[in-house]
Amino acid sequence: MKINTTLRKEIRSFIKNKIQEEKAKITVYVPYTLTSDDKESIQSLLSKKEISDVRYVIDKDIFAGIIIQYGSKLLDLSLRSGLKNLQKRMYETY
Amino acid sequence: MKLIDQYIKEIEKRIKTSERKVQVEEVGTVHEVKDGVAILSGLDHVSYGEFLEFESGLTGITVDLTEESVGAAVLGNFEKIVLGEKVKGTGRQLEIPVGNDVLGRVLDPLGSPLDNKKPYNAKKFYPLEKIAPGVVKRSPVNKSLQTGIKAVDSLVPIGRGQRELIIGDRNTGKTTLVTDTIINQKGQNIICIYCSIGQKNSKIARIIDLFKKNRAFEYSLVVSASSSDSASMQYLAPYAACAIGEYFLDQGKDVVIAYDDLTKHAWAYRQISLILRRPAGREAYPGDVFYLHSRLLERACRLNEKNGGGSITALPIVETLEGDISSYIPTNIISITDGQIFLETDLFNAGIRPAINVGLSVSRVGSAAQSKGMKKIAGKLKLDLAQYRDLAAFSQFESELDEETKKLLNRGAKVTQVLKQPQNKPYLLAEEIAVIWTATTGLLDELPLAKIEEFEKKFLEDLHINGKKLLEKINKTGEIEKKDEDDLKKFAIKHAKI
Repeated sequence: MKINTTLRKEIRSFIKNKIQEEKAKITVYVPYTLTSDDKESIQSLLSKKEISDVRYVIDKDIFAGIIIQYGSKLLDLSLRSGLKNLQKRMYETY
Repeated sequence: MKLIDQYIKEIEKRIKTSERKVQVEEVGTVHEVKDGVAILSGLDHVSYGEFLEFESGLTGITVDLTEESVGAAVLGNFEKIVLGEKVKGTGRQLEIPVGNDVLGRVLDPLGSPLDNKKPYNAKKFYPLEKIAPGVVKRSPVNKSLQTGIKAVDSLVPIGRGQRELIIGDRNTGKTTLVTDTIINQKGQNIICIYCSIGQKNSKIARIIDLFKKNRAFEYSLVVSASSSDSASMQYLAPYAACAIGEYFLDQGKDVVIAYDDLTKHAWAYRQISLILRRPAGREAYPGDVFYLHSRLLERACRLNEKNGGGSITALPIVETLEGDISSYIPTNIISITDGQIFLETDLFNAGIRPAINVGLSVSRVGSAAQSKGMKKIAGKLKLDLAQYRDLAAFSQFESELDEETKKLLNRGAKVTQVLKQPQNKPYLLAEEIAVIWTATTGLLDELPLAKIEEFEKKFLEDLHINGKKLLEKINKTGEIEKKDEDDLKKFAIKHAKI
C-alpha cells in the first residue's frame, strides 16, 4: 500500500507517541478489587505518578500480592511467582 | 532413614539458606517464533548477548536489538514456545559454571550434564564471550605439545599455545588425529577439551567410549552440541569450551582444545543470521563470519610467567569439499591459525595414514617447539621427503633410471612407510625419535618395503625390553647423543637383517 511520505511520517510519529504514552503508564495487577485505602497505600510508594496514571487490573491467577509493571520493567511480588521459584529450586535439588 | 526423608531434609536445608530476592525485572512478550529464533517486544533495557528466561522454562540469548523488537536465539527446543509468552531478562551475560569437577564429564554448552550423572560443583562462572589476552600478557611459544603421531611431531610440530588447523575432506582422519593427540596427553599434566559441533551422536558416543578405554577422562572433558541440537547451541559450543579452558588457563595449566568442526559452526551461525534477515554475503554467510572464528581462536595463547604461565592450544578442524581449500571458510581460518595440517583423500586411499600432505602442511611455530633430538632428525627427514616428492612421478620408470635417482626414490619410499601409523596408537617421544632415526640414517635402505612394518614392531619391542634405560633417557632429555645413536644402531641392525 503506497502512502504519501509526509502522511507516513505523521502516522509514524503519532504511533510512536501513543506507544510512549502507553509505556509511561503504570499497571498494577491485583488478585481482587482493592479499596481506596489500599490504593492510597500503594500510591504513596510510587514516587512520581499521579492517581489517574495508574491502572488496576484484576488477575485471580496471582493468588495474593501484587505485580507492578512500568513500561518493560516489572516488580513481581505475587504469591504465584514465589511458588514457581520454590518449585524450580526444589527440582534442582536432588 | 528412608530415602524420601533424606530428600526432604536436603530440600529444607537448601530452601532455608537461599533467600528470595525481590528486584525489578525486565519483561517482554513473544511476538514471533521462527526456526530457533524468537522475536520479542518489550525488554527495553536488555544488553546484547544477555541471558533471557522464557516462561515455559527455556532460555535464550539476545542477538538482535532493534528499535522496535528484540531478537533472541532460543537455547533448546523452540517448539515449546507459546505466542504471547512472557520473557524475563536476567541482567547477566551468558556464563558457564566451571570447577575442577568438570573433568571427566560430558556437557552441553550451558553446563548441563549429558552423561546421566549429577550436575558438577561449580566454583565460579566464566563468561562465554571474552576479549583475548593482550600482547603484553603473552609469551612466545617454545614448549612442544607431543601428539604421539610421528608425522606431526617431526614435520609439523605443534607448540603449547599455538593454533594448528586440521583440514581435509570427509573421512580423511581429522578426528582421529585429534583424539590420538588427546589420548597421548596422559601423564603430561595437560587438560584436554574435545568440543563437538554438529556431529553425529553415534560419532560422539564412539569418541567417549575411546576416551573411557584409554582412561583419558582423568584429564579431559567433552562439550557437545550434536547435529540434532538447536543452531544456537551449536553456535555457543566452541565458546563454552574456550571458557572452560580459560578457567584452567587462569590456574597456570596447559590446555588443549579441539573444535570439531568449525565448518558446521559457521553453518549454524549462518542459519541464525539469515533468520534474523541480516544481509547475506559470500556463500550466504553473514559479513562477520571471520570475526566469529577470529575471536574464538585468538583466545588460544601462551601467557607469560607473571600471568600464570599457562597456555591454551587450539586444534580447529575444517571439512572441505573436493579438497577445495580456497573456499570461504577454509581460507578464513587458514589466515587466522598458525599453520595447517592438510589431509588428502588420495593419500588416505593409497594406504598412507595419517594422510598428511607434507608439501602443503606447515607449522609456523616450527622447530622452536621441538625437542633437540627431534629437530636433528627432522631436518634430514624433510629433505628426504622433499626430494622424493620431486621425483615421485619418475617412480614408474624405475628400471631406466640412474643410481642416484633410484637411491632417492628408495629412501623416500622407506621414510614414507615409516611415517605411517595405526589408529589410536600414539608413540612416545623416544619411540618416534628411534624409529625415524633408523629411516633417515639409511639403515632401512636394504630392507624390502613390505618388511618395514614388522621391523618397526620388533625393534620397538626389543627397545622396551632390553633398552629401557636408553628410552627413558631420550624421553626425559629429548636429545640424542652420539653414544645413544650407537646403541640404537646395535638394536636396529639386529632386526634389519633381511
